[in-house]
Parts: sequence; C-alpha cells; structure tokens
Amino acid sequence: MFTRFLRLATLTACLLIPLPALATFEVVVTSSSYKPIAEYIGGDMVHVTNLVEGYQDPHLVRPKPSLAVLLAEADLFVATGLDLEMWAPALVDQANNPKLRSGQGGYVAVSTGLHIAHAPTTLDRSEGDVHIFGNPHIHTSPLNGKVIAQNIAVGLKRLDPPNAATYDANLARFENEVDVRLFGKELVDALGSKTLTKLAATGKLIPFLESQQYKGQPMIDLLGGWMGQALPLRGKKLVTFHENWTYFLELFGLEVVDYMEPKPGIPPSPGHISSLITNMQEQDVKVMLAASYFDVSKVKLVAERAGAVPVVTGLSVGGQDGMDSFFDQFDIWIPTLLNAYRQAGQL
Amino acid sequence: MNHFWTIMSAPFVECLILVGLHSYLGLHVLRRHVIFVDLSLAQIAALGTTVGILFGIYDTESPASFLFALAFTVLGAAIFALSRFRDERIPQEAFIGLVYAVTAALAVLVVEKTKGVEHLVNIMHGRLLWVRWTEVATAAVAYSILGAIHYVFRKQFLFISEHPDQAFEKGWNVRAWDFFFYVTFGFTISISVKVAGVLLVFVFLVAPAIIALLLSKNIRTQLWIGWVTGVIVTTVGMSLSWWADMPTGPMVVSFYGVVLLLVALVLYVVRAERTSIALRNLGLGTVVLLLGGGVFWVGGSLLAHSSLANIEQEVSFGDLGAATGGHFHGHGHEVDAHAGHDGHQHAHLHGEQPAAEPAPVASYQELFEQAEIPMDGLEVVQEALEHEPATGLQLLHAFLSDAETPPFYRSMGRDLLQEKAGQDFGFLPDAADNTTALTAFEAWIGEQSAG
Repeated sequence: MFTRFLRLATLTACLLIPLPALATFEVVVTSSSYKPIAEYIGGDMVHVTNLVEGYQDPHLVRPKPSLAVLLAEADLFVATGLDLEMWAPALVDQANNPKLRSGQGGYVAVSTGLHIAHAPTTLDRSEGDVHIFGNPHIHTSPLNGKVIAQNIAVGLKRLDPPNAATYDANLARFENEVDVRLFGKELVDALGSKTLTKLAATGKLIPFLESQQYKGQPMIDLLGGWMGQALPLRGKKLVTFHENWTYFLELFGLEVVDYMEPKPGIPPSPGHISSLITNMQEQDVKVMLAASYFDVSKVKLVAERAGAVPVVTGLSVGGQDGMDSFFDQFDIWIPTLLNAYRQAGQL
Repeated sequence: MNHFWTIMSAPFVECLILVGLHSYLGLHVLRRHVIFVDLSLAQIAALGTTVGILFGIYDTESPASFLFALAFTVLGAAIFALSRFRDERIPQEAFIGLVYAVTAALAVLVVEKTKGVEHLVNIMHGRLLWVRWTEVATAAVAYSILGAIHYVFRKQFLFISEHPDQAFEKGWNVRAWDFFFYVTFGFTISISVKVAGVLLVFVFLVAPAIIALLLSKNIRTQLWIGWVTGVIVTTVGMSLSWWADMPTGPMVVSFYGVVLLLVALVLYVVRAERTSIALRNLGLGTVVLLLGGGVFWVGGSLLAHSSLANIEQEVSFGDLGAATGGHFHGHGHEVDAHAGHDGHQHAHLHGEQPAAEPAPVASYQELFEQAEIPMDGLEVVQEALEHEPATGLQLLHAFLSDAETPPFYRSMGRDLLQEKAGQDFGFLPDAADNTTALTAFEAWIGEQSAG
C-alpha cells in the first residue's frame, strides 16, 4: 500500500516539475548587452545568462561563487575578448571547465574582426585604465552588434553543427533588423546592406548620400532609422565621463571634446576639472554624457559649473528602465541626446 | 588660476568647518582611547545608506538616505556606550575594530543584492572636490548645533571622557552620557564622512589632537593648537593639490601626516637633554632613510623594467596570433579566430586586408570578382569601360545580372548602359525579372564584337 502511494507520489512529482528541454545549451555572456543578441541567434536552443548587469561597471566585477558555478556548467562562454573583463580569465580558471579556455571551442571573443578604436601606442598603467588592445565598449554601435552576432553564430555552429542552418537564418534576420533600424527600410532596399555597412563604418555614408540622386530626389531623403533620427546630432560637441560611447559617437558623427576623467579610470583632479570647464566654455560644449554606473552627483556638479546639460544613461542592456534589448539602447540614447541638445538650445 | 575659486572655495570652506568640530572631538577620542571609533561609526552610517538602497532609496544624496545613515549611527552609539566595560580586560578598541570589520563586510554583502558599489568606494576617499554649497551650508548649521550642545555640556563630557571611574563613583549614569556623546559624535561623522571620506575625517580628528597633546596639557590651549594647525594644513594642502594637480582629499591627508612628523622631530630635538646627540640621531635616521629609498628605487625600476618587457611580449603574441589566425586576440583578419578551422568564410566588415605579396597587376575580371560591395564592383566596371571597352561591357552585363546588386546600383548601371550602348534594352532597376533586357544586351554585345 505504502509503496504504491510512494510510486504515485513520485510520478505526480515528476509530472509537476517541468523538465528542461533536452537540447538546450547553456550560454554564459559577460555583458548584459550580449545577452539579447545571443538569444536572438540561439533562439530556443540556448539559455543565456549574463555575468555583468547593465548598472555595473564592467571593469570591476566582484567574483562570487555563483559566477564560477555558472561557468562550470556553461557550454559556451561569450566574452568581449579585449581586456575589458580582466576578471574573466581567473573566473574561467576557477570554474575548471576545459571547454571554455580561450582557444578552445567553447570560447567566443565577440570583438574578433572589429576595427578597434583607440589602441594605445604606449603601454603604461600610469595612463590609467588603459586597454592595451583598444577601446572595449564595443556594444555601443549597431554595426558592431552585427559582428558580435556573427561571432556568436560561429560559436553556436561549432557547438551544435546540426542546427547550423537555423543559426545562420537567425543571424541573417538579426543583421537585416539592425540594417533596417539603423538606415531605414527604403535605403536598405535601394543600396543594400553591404554597401551601407561599409560606407557607415568608414564615415562616408552621409557625404555619399548627400552627393547622390535617386529617382529624382536627393538620396539623403531616403535615410531613416537611427541614422536619420540622429542626423541633427552630427557635428555636435559633448564631454563624456569615460570613453564609453566611442563607437556610438563615431558612427553618429558626434565630437567628443574632452573627458571628465583625465585618463581612463582615474578620478578627476581640480586642475583637470578647471581646464575641462574652460575648454567647454571656449568650445561652447553644452552636453555631458555619463553612464549610470558613475556617481551622478559629480556629473551634475561639473555640468552645473560649466553651464551644460548632464545626461546620465544606461551604458548597456539593463542599465536603466526600458533598456531591455540591444535595440532599446539606441531607441533611448538618440532621443535622450536630441532632448539634451534641445534643452541646451543647440538644436 | 581662473577657476581656482569656483572649484576650490566650497571644499576649502567645508574643510574649515570640519576642522572646527573635529579638532575638538579628536581631543575626546584620544582621552577615551577609542581612536578608531570614527572609522567604525562611519562604516555603520555607510551600512545604513546601503540598507537604504536595499529599500529602494537609490539617491544616496537624498534626505531619506541620510535618515537611514543617522538611524544606524544611533544604533552604533548605543553599541559603543554599552561596550565600555568597567573592567577593562577587553580593550574597547578591540570591540570597535570588530564592529568596523563586521559592518564593512555586511555592507559588501548588502551591496551584492543592490546597485551602488560606488558609494562604498566614496566612503573611503570621499568627494571633497565635489562638495556643493548647499552641503557646506547644511554642515555649517548642523555643526553649529552640535558644537553648541558640546559647549553647554562641555564639563560633563570632559569629565566622563577623562575620569569615567570617578563619574561612576559619583553616581552618574555614565552609559547614558556615553550614549549622548556617541550620538552627537556619530551625527558629526555621518555628515562629514559623506563628503570628506573616512581617511580625511580620521586625520582631522586625530592629527590635531596628537599635535596639541604633544605641545600642551591645557585643553583650551590644545583646542586652539588644533584649530590653528587644522587651518594651516588645510590651506597649504589644498593649494598643493591645486598646483600639483593631485586629488584633494588624499593630498590634505598626506600633508597632515608630514606636518605631524615634522612637529614630532622638532620637539624631539628641542626637548632632548643634549641637542647634539638628538641632531646626530636625526642625521643618522635621514641617512638610513635615504639609503633605504635608494634600494627601493633601484630595485623598483629593475622590477618594472622586467614586467614591462612581459607586457610587450604579450602584445607581440597578440600580433602573432592574428597572423596565424589561431589566437583569440587576433586583429581582424577573420570574424572569429576559429572560423578558419571550420572553413567558414565571413565578410570583412572593417578589417584591413592582409598585407598582400606584391602581385602582378590583376585583370579587370579578377578585380571585379574581388569587389566586396556593389559600389566597388561598379567602379571596376567603369574603369574597364574606359580602358578595355569589350571587357567593360561583359562586366556591366554581369553586374546587372547579379541578383544581389541593389536597385540603386542597378539604376546607375542602367545609366552606364544608356551612355555606352545608346539604349537600355528596357532594363528596369526595380523589376524582379530583367531576363528579356539582359538577353537583348548580351545579343548586342555579340554584334559589337562581331562588327
């Protein structure tokens, strides 16, 4: 009698606990901004977890046991690959998961193949938080998003060759969505993705569009999407706290006049703040941009003294309310900046 | 110099206000043998702020956040009042240190569940340079009130600080007075630490008190000595920070340390029974210090040299990896370093082309096939039409037949066709199917070459 009850109970319990799908791969990504991309490419076949939240400083992550546990069970580890995540190799070592060591199949460096901005010419830690392989905040450009997606797709295909076609299809869908959101559908249809990507990446897109006619109208009129929306921002000057948005600002044509940090990762000194304020006044810089993980009061204070509009926003997915997908980042940053320049009377 | 005052005046006034109350409280701290009580109370206040974040008060500058800090401070005051044992087998300093360590650890644990690591970092170093006038005004008002309380009860506070045993015997409620003292002390600390940081507050408490105790036995004189040295050190330290362009708080702290050392050395020489021996010892000490410094300097630069060599080696490995395509720091010759092994080929988005061997001049046909994007392809077609018209027409045909050529470039191709052939064979850039036009174009090319 009792054994029957036990058997029944066990059976019921088994039915109640949903079993995870068998072919799910555990993908661990460092930045929260890589997570939606990995989910886009992997679809139902992956379960993605990120190590760094959007409100955290990606340079400093306190290793906790759960992070090592995550990595121990991961099939694929997706990291930036530049030396942004200095803590990552130690974590991988600790997780003791041979699949994940760099150079093994389970490791993907999403920055591979990117043109890296600001690679330093001198190597010296006294220059601050210098990244010897260049600026690592790569997720701030939609174009880089496509490269990140390509690298993740390569990793997934290596992990799961039978589903390669699905990953390729998802990648194509993602690339197309980025193109349409970045340039507008009309322009993508007329010029094609490859041409647009190359022109935008080399900074030649806007002059090209301005010089061309198509079907009797100036081609620039076809430009939509984020590029179209951000056209008024081109040539605008600003100061940022850290070199966080280098790729974004380059793509959309904004000019960084100065940084609040004298050197990356080193807090400002009075002399630097003084010359910063002078510089801002001389060059008529009215907007300051900082990631939400910096101390907001510092940004506000300097902005107040320099008569500028402070903009504090999430740097990556999850960095502020509503920034939930890779695309949300740009849907938030561009209108926020437009607003700031309007408020500053420069638009 | 233009911004010296706009930037430095608020921090300077803030420091003067701090010197006012802290130099006085420091005298109490030394008398009570509770040197690290400020560190401990500051950490308790910080834990309060952190717990506030846990409750959703993210703005650490807000009054709500400050209330959390104050509530925790009162709790801390109670702990310290209760922990003064009459039987001093366990020194209270041990207990204070323990409270510091435990609250600091708790804050790290709490912060793990919240956002806001940065304010924990701020607690140590403060943000003196970033102080606002409103904060300076708040501090001035608060310290005036706290100062007035200490002035009114100065005799009682001094008595329980100096002679707690006698106070017990006289029937005073020492625990209640202790609690009262620690509450006022804690309020002072919570306000100052938020701005000046633990390090600066600690030095402002202890350094003037040490100098004063070295120089005098009278509390009134001691207080004046504390104030005067405080003002001098602040003024000089802040100016140094400006001229040397160094962080302000740490500069003032370090300078206070130097001043303390100088005062101690001067007193050592002045008060020595035989000045000549004191001077000789001083000289010997300096020589030993210089020698030691020299050893560090030589050793340090040797070590730095070797570690720099390591970094350089690492970088050159990176380049090597890129060249062989086998290392994950590769510079962009492939989309993924492993792609090569799998045979995947990907578009080179921005990667510079691998340095090619000096090759023989490629034909237009080859150049056309190498073109990655339609824009480059069309350029090759144009070049070819100019220099090798026959090849050019073939390539133009190929360009227009390619399903991947976008409409814009097809219409440009159509214009080229119109220009070279004098007709467009009915080619429509937006049409899905142009077979008829392309066949007609091909036939025309055939006629041309035959003719």
